[in-house]
Amino acid sequence: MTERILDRLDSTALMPPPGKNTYEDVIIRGEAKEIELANIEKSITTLWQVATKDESEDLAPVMRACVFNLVIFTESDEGLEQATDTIAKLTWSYPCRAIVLIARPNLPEDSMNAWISAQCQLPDPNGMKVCCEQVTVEGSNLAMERLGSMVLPLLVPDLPVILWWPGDPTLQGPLFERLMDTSDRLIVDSRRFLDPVCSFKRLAALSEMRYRGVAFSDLNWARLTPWRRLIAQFFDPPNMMPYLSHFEDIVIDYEAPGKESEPNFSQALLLVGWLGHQLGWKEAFSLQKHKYNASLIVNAGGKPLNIKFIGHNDCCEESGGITAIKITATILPENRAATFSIKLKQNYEQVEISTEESSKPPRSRALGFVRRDEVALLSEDLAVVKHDRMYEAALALAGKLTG
Amino acid sequence: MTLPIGTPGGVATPAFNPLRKGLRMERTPPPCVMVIFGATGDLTHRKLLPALYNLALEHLLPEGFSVVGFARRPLDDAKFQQGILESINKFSRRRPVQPTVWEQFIKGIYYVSSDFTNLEGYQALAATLDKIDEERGTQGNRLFYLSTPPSDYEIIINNLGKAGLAKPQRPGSDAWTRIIIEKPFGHDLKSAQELNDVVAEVFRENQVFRIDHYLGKETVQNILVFRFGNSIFEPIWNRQFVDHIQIVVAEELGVEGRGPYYEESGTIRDMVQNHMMQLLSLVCMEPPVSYEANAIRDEKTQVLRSIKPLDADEVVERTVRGQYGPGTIFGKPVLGYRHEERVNPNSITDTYVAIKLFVENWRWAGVPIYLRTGKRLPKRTSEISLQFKPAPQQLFSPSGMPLEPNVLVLQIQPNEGISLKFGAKVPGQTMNIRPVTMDFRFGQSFGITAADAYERLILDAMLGDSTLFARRDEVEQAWSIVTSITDGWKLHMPPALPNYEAGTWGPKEADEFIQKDGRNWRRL
Repeated sequence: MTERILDRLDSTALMPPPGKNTYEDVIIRGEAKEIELANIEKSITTLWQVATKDESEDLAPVMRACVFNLVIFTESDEGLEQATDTIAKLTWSYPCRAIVLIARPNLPEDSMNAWISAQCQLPDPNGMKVCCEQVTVEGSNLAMERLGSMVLPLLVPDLPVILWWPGDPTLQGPLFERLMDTSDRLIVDSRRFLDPVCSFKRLAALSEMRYRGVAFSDLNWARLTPWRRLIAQFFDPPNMMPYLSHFEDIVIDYEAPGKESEPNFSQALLLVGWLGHQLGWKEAFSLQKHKYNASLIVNAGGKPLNIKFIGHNDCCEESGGITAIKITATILPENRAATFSIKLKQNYEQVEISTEESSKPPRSRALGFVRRDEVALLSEDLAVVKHDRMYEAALALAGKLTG
Repeated sequence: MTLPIGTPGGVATPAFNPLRKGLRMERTPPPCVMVIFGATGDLTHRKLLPALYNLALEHLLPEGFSVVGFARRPLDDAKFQQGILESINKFSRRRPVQPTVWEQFIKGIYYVSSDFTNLEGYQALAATLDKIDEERGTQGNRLFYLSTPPSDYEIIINNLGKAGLAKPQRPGSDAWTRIIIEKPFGHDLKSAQELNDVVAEVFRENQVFRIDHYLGKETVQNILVFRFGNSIFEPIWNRQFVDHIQIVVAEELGVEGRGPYYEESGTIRDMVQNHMMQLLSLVCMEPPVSYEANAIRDEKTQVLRSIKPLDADEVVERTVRGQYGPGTIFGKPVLGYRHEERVNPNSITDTYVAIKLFVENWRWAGVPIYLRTGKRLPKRTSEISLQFKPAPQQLFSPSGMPLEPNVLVLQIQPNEGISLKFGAKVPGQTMNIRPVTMDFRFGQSFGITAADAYERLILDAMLGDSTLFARRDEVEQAWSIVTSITDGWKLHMPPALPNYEAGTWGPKEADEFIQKDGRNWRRL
């Protein structure tokens, strides 16, 4: 293990142009420096002392800020690069101490290395740079269990610990359990689950039983936010609310790229879990899967409700991303029928929302639609301070409905 | 989970939309139409329409939301829409306009041309609103916005009543009607009471939303969170610990072409009666029993009731008025007030005012509250500062001179945030104490661009949430304080005006005014 002398932080920055939310122009990245494992905290102190000295060079003064500890586990260089990029962008809204753990199967037995770097933003050209630090620790397969022990002493005291597991989480094993024992929140992305149905069940069980004190989040749930809002809006007018108890069919279209052997429709499952929890759906007949498509029948207030998941492989931007939803409902005594549709259009930059009600002219409108990147989704999740009970309930039901 | 069931119209119906529960996003109001009186005016184009567009961009407007512009100027829908497009491209914080959003937004924009006095215009408006309800499903929900000169308020309100447009609810429906009234709400206590009477004849109080855009600012709302969401501040938030409070609203701008309006209002009516009284009541109020509109407004009004109107002698002792002469702002020469467009060259209108008030209750008795506001000051800044009493023993000051006091500053604009000044030892062999500041900046901690105040307030009005709007008694109480000062000024000769140079921190009398109490204005 080597230790290099720290250079001063690079500190040239520009404000983003008005109306643009580009992070890149305002991020100042410190170069990662390799350090001794036992001296990480001391090296971080040195890093900040060097950074503060920059003030004498007529540069923007540095303010160190931290609102939580963010622990990230990844298994590839690509994952590390993405995590580093995300942390840098996240500093804009959530300055934090980031601890990135990376598994390196090719490292010699039992070896571990660490680096530190700083991420800075200059929100106001005349103000202070807001900076936070990233500690990266890599370990061989054999050192995996010990990676967890690196985290505890590095945590900034009295601040929440958020564990972000961007890939397909094992949801078990010594490292996962050790990290979960110190975490206040686990963030996963079910879009990356290799077996979403199985992982949902496992995740739901962990949430309900073993880690009840840990809040669970899923970036796929944040992706559903605009869909949930648009669906809810259909039923805001008092005269439309009766349809909520009379759903007959739901069809959800999602992206299923051909290259994926097992299409991931976890986003659609979560949506169904949410609707089912909110509308009091009970047991379901088992999930039937056929290539990209799947179907499910649930008991909605004593009546069968057919749900179809239709995968499209002639797309796609976002594996598993919902592209359309259509709900059909009929209020039998009055024979009032309605169809509620939401459909992405124009390269997913627009969403068309339509309502067709019997004996009334159809209503349709289009809104702009933005597919948010991982940073935006993570920011939304991080804004939830405590448990997102709605997500946890949707997750639990999604697990149950799939048999 | 089982659905809460009601049975309106014989159909099993949930009592509320269960899909709304636990949604992460902002609230969305029910479908409605907003009618803007004074639709061609400056406020409408600079603030209201950009705010509505921004709400549309954020998907915060309901399905079918529509805007009807109502003004004298003879325009058609297309010309009104074109003007809106230009305004949004010029003034929106999210410019330029996104074609997809605009395409939808424009579908719900209409214009009715009429004189405000012409009842037929209101009948035409009623027909337009019915048509919009039919075509766009706005369900009879109306939000009227008075963005006209105050002199038009009475006739508009009366005509809305005569045209049957002010009814709180239509029979057999849940439709609502609300009205937002811009400041200034009257020009003294009597006129405010009269205007309130006019409003009350046509609208119920729960339909009326008196807007003060300061209350829509995030930092102003954060005063309540800071005070009542944290347990460490409230115990020292009283006369035992606080020496005095300063509330400052400074502007570097002049009257910006609003000479005739400013000649009538002056700074005291333009700033003190509304913005500064709101800040004062938020910073001095007792904890409300709940975060509910009337609970908060009750406590704010109690504060204003605890401030006794000033008698003529007190007005002399406890106020300073000023007017700017020519000077320099940011290196550029600027005119004096009397040389501004459409201003009386011998005007004695106040463009600066400093006031000392006392909130006479158990919490604040004896704690002076200094208000300072003016135009053409060196920079734009608004803040509330609480200066704490010095430590009782001067342990670290050999000369016996007190160390700099602790100051807690709530910065409203710009650089919204909170800072605390305290003493700390300078590293070294000697015991040197230096004041240091611990800063919290919203922009740096949350990195989120706050919505414009009008966006928040318009949305609140659509949702029927009046927490951030002034109630009748609150407005009248603020006027009773301000009117006592303006009445007192009438009995005394004004100072020789102008008495401060543009680009300075006001007349020297204002410095002497606070210094005679052994205090100083905070350096801003």
